[in-house]
Amino acid sequence: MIANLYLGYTHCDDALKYVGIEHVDALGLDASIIYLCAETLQSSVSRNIVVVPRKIARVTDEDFNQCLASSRTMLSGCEPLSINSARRLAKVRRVLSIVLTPRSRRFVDESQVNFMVQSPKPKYIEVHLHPFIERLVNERLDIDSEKEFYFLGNVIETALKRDVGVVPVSASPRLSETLLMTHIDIILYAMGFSKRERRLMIELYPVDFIGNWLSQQV
Amino acid sequence: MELHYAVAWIALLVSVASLAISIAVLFRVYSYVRVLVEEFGKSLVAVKKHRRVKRYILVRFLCIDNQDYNTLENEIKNSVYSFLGPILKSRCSVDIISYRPESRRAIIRVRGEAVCVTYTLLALSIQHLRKNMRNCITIPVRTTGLISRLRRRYLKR
Repeated sequence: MIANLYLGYTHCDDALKYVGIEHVDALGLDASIIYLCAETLQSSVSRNIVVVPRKIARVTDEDFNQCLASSRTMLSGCEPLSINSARRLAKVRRVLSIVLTPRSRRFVDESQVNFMVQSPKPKYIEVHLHPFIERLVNERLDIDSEKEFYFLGNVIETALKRDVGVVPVSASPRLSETLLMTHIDIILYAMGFSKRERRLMIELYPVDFIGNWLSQQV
Repeated sequence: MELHYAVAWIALLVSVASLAISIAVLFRVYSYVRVLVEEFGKSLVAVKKHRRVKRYILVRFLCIDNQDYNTLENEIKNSVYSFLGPILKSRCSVDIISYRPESRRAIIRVRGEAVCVTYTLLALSIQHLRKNMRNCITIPVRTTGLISRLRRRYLKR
């Protein structure tokens, strides 16, 4: 079961075209988009697709609860923007994902925050690949891409060793910049992950994440 | 008796000198042998310094504009080479050897070192994110060393 758990699209058309291009079994869309185009999606897609409502929120010390507020109705992803908020997130007793982007990478640091070992409920590391790749290809010289990818690889490797779920997602803002699951697989392959590890990240952990989140609702 | 002592001393000196000479020569001979093994040994074991591989990648294009073969080939080659950079360009060769516009599928041949294939796949996957190249999304479908293995998927409508 292949799942792209977050597409950062803001238009309904992009989501519809994406479903036509890629044969995914589960799809994560921003909750606002789902409410807008739920009927269109339902009528235009002939096969069964699980569409998951997502909410990605930045977490700082001031607006910590914003990410958790709707975690029961939407699959929440929290992007910590300070070390304190990251530590608080690790202690939350809910199933959610810690969003790893170039902005939050300094705070998703297992040596400082125990996301992986001491968390009371399983936390998933949700890797937003689009911002990383976008920064790489547009050749801004002030960004040390090697360092970013080294850090990204280390976080994923540590998580896999400790059997913590890693969910790579595309998080592309529009269809023309989208990263399909094949692209994500190739990026992970180029980063040195084995076939087994890639299957875990692309097929197993997303389903496990959805399953855990649904079991929390009961 | 004195003659015997003298002969014994001379024999001792000669043997010590020969020992010293043999030790000195031994190091030199060892270095010669090592150079010889490095020069010929590797080729005897048949490990080539530069192993050249050839891989065929079947790709599918999702293009905004309809493009002819030459335009598409130039765009894809430019894009891949710009990602690989001039140093890898000297070691990797990328060609579109076949293109079916009706199904938007093409076969790309990559020749060069093994790492070229990985880098070409990566370049094909992320090239549409560059700001001035947002015409086509390229989806690598399959990579193989034998072009015949791609036939069925390539001819698929």
